[in-house]
Amino acid sequence: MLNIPPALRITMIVGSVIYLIIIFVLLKRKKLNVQYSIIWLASAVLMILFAVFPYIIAVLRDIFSIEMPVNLVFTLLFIFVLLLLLSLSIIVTGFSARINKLVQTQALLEERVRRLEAQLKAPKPDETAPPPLAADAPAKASTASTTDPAVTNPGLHACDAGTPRD
Amino acid sequence: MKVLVIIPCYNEEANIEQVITRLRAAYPEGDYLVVNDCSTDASARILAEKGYNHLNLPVNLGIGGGVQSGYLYAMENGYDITVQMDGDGQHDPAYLRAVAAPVAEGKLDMCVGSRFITKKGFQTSALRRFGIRILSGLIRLLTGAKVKDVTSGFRACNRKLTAFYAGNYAHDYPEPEAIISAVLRGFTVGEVPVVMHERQGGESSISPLKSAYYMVKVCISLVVYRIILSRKKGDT
Repeated sequence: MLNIPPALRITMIVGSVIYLIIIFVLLKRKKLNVQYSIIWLASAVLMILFAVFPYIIAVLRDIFSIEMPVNLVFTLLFIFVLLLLLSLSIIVTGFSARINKLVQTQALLEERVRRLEAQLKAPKPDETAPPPLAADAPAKASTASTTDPAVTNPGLHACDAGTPRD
Repeated sequence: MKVLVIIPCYNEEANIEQVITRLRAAYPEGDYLVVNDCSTDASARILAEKGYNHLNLPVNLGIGGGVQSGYLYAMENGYDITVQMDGDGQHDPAYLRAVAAPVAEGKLDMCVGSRFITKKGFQTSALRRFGIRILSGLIRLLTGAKVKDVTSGFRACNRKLTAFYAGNYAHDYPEPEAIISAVLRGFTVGEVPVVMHERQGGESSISPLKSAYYMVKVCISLVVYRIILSRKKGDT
């Protein structure tokens, strides 16, 4: 059996409980998304479980015939960290795909806006145009002519060009 | 047949004007779209001032994401054929019809303009040719497709493949990966001879230092594509 001094055991239990509380506080303050917190919560619950019932570790150690129980703990920790990193990569991939889509859609829309604005601007003094358009077009054309969006509006294509991906 | 020429452009202020002028002279019947991938130089200003048809990506996506937005544009506007052509003047628009022809005739889903068939014009450095040969051999080994100039960005696609690329296109250095994913999905890919020029100005996106990294990375991703795409064949 495992002989853990009571002081260490209490410290471990208190430590894991604090860890769990920190996760909940972060969740409550919306610093952590619920969908991404599951793996953290699972880790906290496991830690508490191991701290309260170190017997589990002893049994697992016998199953895998590992000499030192602490090695089993380290191995489990390492596996957990690997899984966590993998899940982060998955999340980042998802973000990257979404950013990609977002940027492309925005660029297509921006091009369309530019094209439509040019269309509105082109037949400026056109009196023969249908009434709803004719009422609308001159007003827009006049605002557009003072600030040509394609050339003078830097906000439209202000780049965060600092980090080109490669 | 509505043809769209997609020209990815990243910091090509020195070349883009000439590229478009030559394209319009050589191929007036097709539309073109410059994809400005958030250039940090005057490219965006030149495109706007000249009134060229162009997209402005608000953040830099890299060549893959840029070209893919061109494919999305082609889908949205109902083009039959999309031709990809570099914005640095390497690709001669005089060969545009030759590259698009096999696709227009329905012989191929994608046609690549290759500088290694007639071996004329700019042939790039020996080391790079060696690298391209390795990639070409690897693609042949993995899929059986015979494409010599796998890194050529001069390529024509039909509507079906354009739709596929609009949904799935590799990032970073996507040319060989685009070929292998198309072949694995059952599209036919071939090539026709073209003559390429040395880029006219500015800097290439692939520096010599990055080349080794590029090779390793592309080789790994080609093998990965082979593994992950083989079972999904045909269900796009």
